[in-house]
Amino acid sequence: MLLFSCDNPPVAPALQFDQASKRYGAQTALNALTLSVEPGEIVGFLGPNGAGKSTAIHLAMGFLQLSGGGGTMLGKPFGDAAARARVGYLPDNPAFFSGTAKDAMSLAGALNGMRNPRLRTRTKEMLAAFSIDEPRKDVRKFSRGMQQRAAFAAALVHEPELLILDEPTSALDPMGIIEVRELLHAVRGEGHSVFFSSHQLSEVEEVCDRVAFLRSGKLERIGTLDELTAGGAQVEIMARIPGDVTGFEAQKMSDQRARFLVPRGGQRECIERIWANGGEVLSLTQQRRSLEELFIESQGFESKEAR
Amino acid sequence: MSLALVTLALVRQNRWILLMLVLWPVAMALILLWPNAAPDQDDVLSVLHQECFYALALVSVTGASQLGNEQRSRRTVFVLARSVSRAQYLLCGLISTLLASLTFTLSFLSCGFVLIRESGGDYAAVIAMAALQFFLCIWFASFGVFFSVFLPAILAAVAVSLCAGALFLLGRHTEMFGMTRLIAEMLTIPLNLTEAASGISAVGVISILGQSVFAFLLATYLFNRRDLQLTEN
Repeated sequence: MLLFSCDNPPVAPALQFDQASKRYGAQTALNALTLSVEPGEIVGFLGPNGAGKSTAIHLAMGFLQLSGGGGTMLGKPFGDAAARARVGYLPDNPAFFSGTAKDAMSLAGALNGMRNPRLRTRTKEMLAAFSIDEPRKDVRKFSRGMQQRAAFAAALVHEPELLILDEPTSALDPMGIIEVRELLHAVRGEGHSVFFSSHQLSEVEEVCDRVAFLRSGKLERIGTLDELTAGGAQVEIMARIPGDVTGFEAQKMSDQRARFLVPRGGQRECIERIWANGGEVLSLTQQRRSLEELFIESQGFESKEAR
Repeated sequence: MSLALVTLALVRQNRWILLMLVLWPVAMALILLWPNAAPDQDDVLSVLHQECFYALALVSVTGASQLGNEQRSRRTVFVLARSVSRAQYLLCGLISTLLASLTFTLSFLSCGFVLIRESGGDYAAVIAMAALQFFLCIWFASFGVFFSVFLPAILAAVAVSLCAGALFLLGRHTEMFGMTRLIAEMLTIPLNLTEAASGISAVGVISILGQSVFAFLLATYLFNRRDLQLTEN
């Protein structure tokens, strides 16, 4: 007799912060962060410098000790060495031991339990995937961008279940950024989870399933892009109208068409006036907020335009 | 496997220090042998003693600074982001420091043999000195690693010296600590010692090794409960 149905076994989050806090004396670097990354999900972590993004990542990796709360990574408490074997971590500022890029990748794989010939094959694959053309050059003499590529390759060499990336594209050129984007899509396609912090809002917008905003160590908001960007402050009304509509400014276009941007709640009055002036409403669209607007809003400061 | 790889990486990182360790006894031997091929026995003894203390100073500085250097350069992250526990990592640091010490000891031994051959005396004296030096190096390395867990490199090295000095002075009254015995033995070994083992106190060695194990276990306990000192923190 089965005690539990195995059709839909509960799936533990790949990464879970449970009221995780970090304090340095009186200063709070992370304040009761509760957040989870589900298997196969990409979660972006946004916030200005000093918001606590790296602190959260360092807690998960076990580099820092929790001051309060807890958390699990692949079902094990933060800092568990066995769990780290299934995690690929890319630091914001990668460092390597003396040796070639190939050595660095082999060492990274071997420290996670990979052995030859699989390790050799994966090392070659990663060197090719990240366009590291000089695998025999001392990795410490690479440019910052190439070092980041090498570190990325080293984080992936052992085929991790969970990727934790701290500013993965900060030192990359546009081609590198596109490669990383494609790679993250591929990783998600294979069912792996990704948790990454970034300043590149377009990057986050492009690849993330969910986005979390952090401010002064506190989680401000979290949700899917659709959830977060819906409910913008304005409504766009496209209309065909011969003259002007008093009280509403319109952007005139060809064909007597005009585009009105009206505050949410004011659309009814605008439509009635368009009709009253013999016009015809062509479309009505709720304006979505951009991630940039959300970011600015969540950090509690206004953009220059808003001011 | 992981232990060997990390140790090797740490040793490779410090290869220039290792080279210097090998060359120091060679340079000292050359200085003694240069004017005439048969150096005075007192000079040889004095140089060998000096090299023994040089080994202790060097191993305490290396042991005390390694963890800090690795954290500052963030290479620690490369290792601890993988399936390596903090205890294993600390052990790799200790082993790599001891390998540096062993390199010096081997260089000391081979150069000592050359000096003994030219000046007269017994090879057993150099073997006993090398063995005592290495046992003491284990203590200095372990305590260096221990203090480096919570002190900056310079303070950790000073703390090792103070601790060794305190144990040495304390041991002169109680004769309980291996430190006093081993240092005293190292300084009183005659060049005509016929049997190396007769110059080494087993109690002293056991005491020193026990203290080293205790220091390392305590270091591991503390390191497991501390934040890594990465630059941005």
